[in-house]
Amino acid sequence: MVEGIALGTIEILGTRIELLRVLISIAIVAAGILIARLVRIPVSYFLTKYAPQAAPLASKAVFWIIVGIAALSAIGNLGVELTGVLLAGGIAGIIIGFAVQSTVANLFSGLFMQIDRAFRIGDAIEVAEMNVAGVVTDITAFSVVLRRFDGVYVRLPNEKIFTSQVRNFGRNVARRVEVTVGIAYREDMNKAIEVIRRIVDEDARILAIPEPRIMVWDLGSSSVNINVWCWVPTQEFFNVRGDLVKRIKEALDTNGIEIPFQQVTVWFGDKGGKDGEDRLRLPSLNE
Amino acid sequence: MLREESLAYGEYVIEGDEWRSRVADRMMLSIKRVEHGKYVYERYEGEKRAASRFIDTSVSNELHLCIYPVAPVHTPQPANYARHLLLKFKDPLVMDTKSALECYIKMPVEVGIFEKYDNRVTMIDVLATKLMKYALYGMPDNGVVCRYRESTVYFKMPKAEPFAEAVAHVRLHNYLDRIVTVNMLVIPIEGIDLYYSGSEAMLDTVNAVIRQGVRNEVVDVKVEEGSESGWSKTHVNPAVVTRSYTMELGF
Repeated sequence: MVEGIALGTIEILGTRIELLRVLISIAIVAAGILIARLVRIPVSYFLTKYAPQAAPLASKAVFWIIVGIAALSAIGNLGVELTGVLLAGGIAGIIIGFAVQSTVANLFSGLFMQIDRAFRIGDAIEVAEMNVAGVVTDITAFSVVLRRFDGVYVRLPNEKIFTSQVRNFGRNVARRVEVTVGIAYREDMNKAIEVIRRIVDEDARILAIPEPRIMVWDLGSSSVNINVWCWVPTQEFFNVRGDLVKRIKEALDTNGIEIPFQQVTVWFGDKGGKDGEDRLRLPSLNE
Repeated sequence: MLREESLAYGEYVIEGDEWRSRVADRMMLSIKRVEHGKYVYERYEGEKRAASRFIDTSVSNELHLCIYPVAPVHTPQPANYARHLLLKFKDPLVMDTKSALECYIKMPVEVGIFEKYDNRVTMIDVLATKLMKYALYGMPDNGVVCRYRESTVYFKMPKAEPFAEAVAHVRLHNYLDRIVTVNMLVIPIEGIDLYYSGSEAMLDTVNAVIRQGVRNEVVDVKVEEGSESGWSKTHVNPAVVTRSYTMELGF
């Protein structure tokens, strides 16, 4: 409370302070507010560009930190002893720090994720460590919201995502569809490749460049395995994969090329008979 | 009364109860009036009905149909992944240092079916009379998906296949101090109005400048806006579109 004014001084709560100091303190606070406003503009611009979700909160934080520093400087200028205040503030800060540790971690993880730009709203992602996949519907200061592919809402803390491996299915413009087709050993591989190539060539969604690759990849236990690799626009990945498998199966059936079932040959040779005579071959389901 | 017309690009006023027109050998467009001001549009591919729309023209009371060549970026519907056309030259062009040449290439087009009302057109269907593929220019992480076509280079204006192709006039400039081989051009094509005459179509002149970029040699491709005499221009894209593209990932 102001109790009296002498020439050039002012008394606040029993402390006599020079009027000039008061004016300087007011100027410090005013300058702090001005600087804070000026700093907030480029910070807000930068964050809006690179971390739009965190921009409002972070620019406000920058503003109040600068104003806070200015206010403490102004109080110090008035000759008020700040050691006790700072000590109390420090202890309180530690206590609050422990209490809101995870919140702050989420906040900063969110900020770094925005700068990192691993994904955007609308991208389909998978967070491997958390075994969650879905479409990103919101990115807030503390969490990422996914709509899982089965329609379930999932909220994931930023900190967990930031330290996990994230697979972004929609980041690149094209993806490779891979299909393995097994044909029976007695079938003509070249004919099968020709049939599959026709299917691939007739699909407008399958990119001409990079050129689709159809090759005999493996001699499996029951079949000769042909790999089909073709690039498609990312949006068409699931549609093309589904259609491709269906159409290859239909085309192989039409051309009389057999896709065999798993076949197992069991041998009995040690006891109860001569080797080679008592071996029993189980017929395959196709035979 | 059934009217079957041989089709050309342009504007049609649908009169009578039924209108049919053949686009290609196996494609048929059909419009039937179901009642006053109400029509059913159908597209058949062979015997199969590939598309159908119900059109209400109760305000205007007559159906104005426009059939125009459009940029080949709409099919198979609902395709929405290409804004460019990658034209690969069957025979690469070898250009001398500091030289220029003019040539023609054929590019694919789609056929857009529009309803016109109050001088504005709305696409009601789009079709491709031939199979067209897409291609990736660049890498999956930095490239673009383009409509793809292999084209011969012509030095006289070739005849384009009706409802399937358009001709593009290309001007190439090599500003480099070395002989270059040009294998392809990537042309920004989305939202660009084409020209038509009868059942033929044409694109504005494509200007391609081969120059030294900051990191590597690049080609600046620009579709010059102009007017082709004797050809009508479609006006289906009111928005301003990007008509230039810099090929930084090889040519």
